[in-house]
Amino acid sequence: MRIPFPRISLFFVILLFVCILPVRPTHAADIKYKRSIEKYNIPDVVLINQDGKKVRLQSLLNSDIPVIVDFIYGTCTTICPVLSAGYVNLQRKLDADNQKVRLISITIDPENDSPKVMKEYLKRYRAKPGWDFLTGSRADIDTVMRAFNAYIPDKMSHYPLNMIRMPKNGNWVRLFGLMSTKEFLNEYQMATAK
Amino acid sequence: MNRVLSFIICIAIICVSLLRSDVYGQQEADSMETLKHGERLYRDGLLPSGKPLIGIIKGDLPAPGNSFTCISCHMRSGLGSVEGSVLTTPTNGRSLYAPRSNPPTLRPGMSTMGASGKGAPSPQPPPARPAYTDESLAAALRGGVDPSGRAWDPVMPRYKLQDDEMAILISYLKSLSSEFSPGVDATTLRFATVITDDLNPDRYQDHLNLLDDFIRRTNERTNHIENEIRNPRVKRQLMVSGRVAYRKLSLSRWLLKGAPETWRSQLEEYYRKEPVFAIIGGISGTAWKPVHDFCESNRLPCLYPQTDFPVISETDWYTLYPSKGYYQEGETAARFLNRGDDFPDCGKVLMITRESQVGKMLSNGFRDTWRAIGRTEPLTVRIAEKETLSPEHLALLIKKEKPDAVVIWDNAALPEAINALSAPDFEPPRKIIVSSGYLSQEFMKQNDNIRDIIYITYPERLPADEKLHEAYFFGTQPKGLKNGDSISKSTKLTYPLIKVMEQSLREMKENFYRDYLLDIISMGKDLDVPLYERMSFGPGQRYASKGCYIVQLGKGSHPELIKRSDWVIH
Repeated sequence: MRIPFPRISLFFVILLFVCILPVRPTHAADIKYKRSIEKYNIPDVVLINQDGKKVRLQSLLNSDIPVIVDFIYGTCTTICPVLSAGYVNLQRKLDADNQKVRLISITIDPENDSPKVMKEYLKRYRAKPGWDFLTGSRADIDTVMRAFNAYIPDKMSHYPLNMIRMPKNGNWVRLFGLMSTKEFLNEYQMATAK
Repeated sequence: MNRVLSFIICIAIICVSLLRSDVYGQQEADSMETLKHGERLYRDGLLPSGKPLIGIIKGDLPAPGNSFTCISCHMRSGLGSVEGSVLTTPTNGRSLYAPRSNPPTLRPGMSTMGASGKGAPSPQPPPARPAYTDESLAAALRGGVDPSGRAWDPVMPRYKLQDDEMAILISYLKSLSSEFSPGVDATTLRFATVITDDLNPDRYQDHLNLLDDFIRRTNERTNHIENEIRNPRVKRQLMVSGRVAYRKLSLSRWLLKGAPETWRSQLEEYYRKEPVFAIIGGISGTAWKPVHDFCESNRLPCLYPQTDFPVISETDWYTLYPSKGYYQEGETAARFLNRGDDFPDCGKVLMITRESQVGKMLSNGFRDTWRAIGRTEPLTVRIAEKETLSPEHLALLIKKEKPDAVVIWDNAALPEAINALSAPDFEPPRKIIVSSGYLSQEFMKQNDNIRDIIYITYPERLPADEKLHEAYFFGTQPKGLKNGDSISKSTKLTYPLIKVMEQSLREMKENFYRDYLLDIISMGKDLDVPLYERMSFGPGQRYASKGCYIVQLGKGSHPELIKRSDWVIH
């Protein structure tokens, strides 16, 4: 069957249009971190926060407000200070409204990170309410790292990772690498868009 | 006339000399002041004004100096760090003011920061650049571009420093790790180990044999390199890999005699005769504080000393202990009572403690932790060193005070006193905590009917678990041991030290700076060892094993130990 000329033209115009469209309408070339969407099963473990209080991780993370998780430790160099500067600046940008985001840092050095160490860490960064630092038994911390596909046997194998939970569907945006405030805020806004 | 002239000239010379010495003195004082401000800027992130230094990372992320200092990444020595996929380059003057050539492994397109989604890619060394000058370094610290025109990694903060602040920082960087530390010369890297004369040689012989063996093996490898290096091709390869920076190792034995108060002068004398790069290992049965203080004053690393009486400090830098010793058991008891899921309303605590060195360490650990948790002070009863805690005395104290829990830091006579509490007409407390370290094997002597309320601090792996890890760590037959010989605790503590030394010396290469040695150890991998669940330092951490179990005895005449807590309790 012969296809009429106008319909062929339309097909090629659409094809050309599709070809010249960018894959993602963002400045992909500027982004130095890696982004993916993941589903995680949060383990039912009880951890300890900076006030020495027990917290059930599932209850803390399965929330109607956006949650961001990272893995750090109290005496860490290089990676954690940048991740934590990102957290504190995000809190500032969101006007410290702790209903807009819940920031969770989970230690990867549970033997050293007692509530006292974690509290001092948060104080050093002038963290506002809404940012919790959690420790626990080595077994529970390993379970949590595995659940987030972030297991490392040793804190010195640490790598920069943030995960934002999208309240609309419970999926997580996994962000590997260190981000600027603008990039972090942008990721937060995309993840929380309704 | 001549005499008058001579007098005037003399006076003039004296005046000029005094003036000059005053000027030099002033210059020296200024220079010291500059370095002091520079150190504060580098280590604490504080400007001379006392305000925090602000750096901008990733283009728009402000990081205040007190949370993100130079030392956070470049470390105390200034020789940089590696954490996961992030490599931080040296920032001491010696490195900055020398050109850097391309590393042999660097290929086009590689960067210092990997970005795969899973796991940490290996960090890649940075490419070549010319030597910095004061001007180009100041420009780079402000704008983040090195003299070759290459932009620094955006994770490195850019600083808005005033000219005078910049001069202070640059002056400090020039002084940082500029000369090798004492204890090294062109051929030899010198170490010492410390033994105190209160010990029976059986206690330290294994330790010394293992250290001697480590030195001998390392020197044999060095001899091998010396022979190989005569071949120009091998020499080129060794230079590229950095392994040409070998030194022979030496180990001196510093025997301290008499009372601990006299050790400081003995140490000073040993050190005057032979300055060493570090103290490795060492054993004392009585105290370690004089050695600790000596090392702190001389900025001398002291690695893995075997003592039950470490100095507990959050700020001292130079001694890295295997654990907090008895203090750790006291800490654990306090955390256990505070946390106890089956015992949530622990109110009144009675602490009975012997006025011995061990008793004081245990009770200090308990009290410091109990206070830090925010609990009210435990009621404390002290027993004189020569006094015996009789069953009647213990029962009377419990009857009178009616505590919820009793913590007893005592040794040999304790089981008899505790067993008496199981009398049918006596109402014992809900929990009694004792120390396995202080009681040694005596803690096993508990009546069946009192075991339910006795909790024991146990700062090592449980025996069966320890045996499993011995086989894994030492192999089926450790060197120098015959079949059936047991491995001494000293040996179990010496092996991790040797592992750490082997690794650290390899990584230290030609950088013979004491602070760098400590930086390297703090960045080392965790060790899985027979004695403890995990030995691990991190930047600024000074006690490698941080755990202690709480156990109870099972039933019967050969009771098993039953874990009642995790290795670390928070």
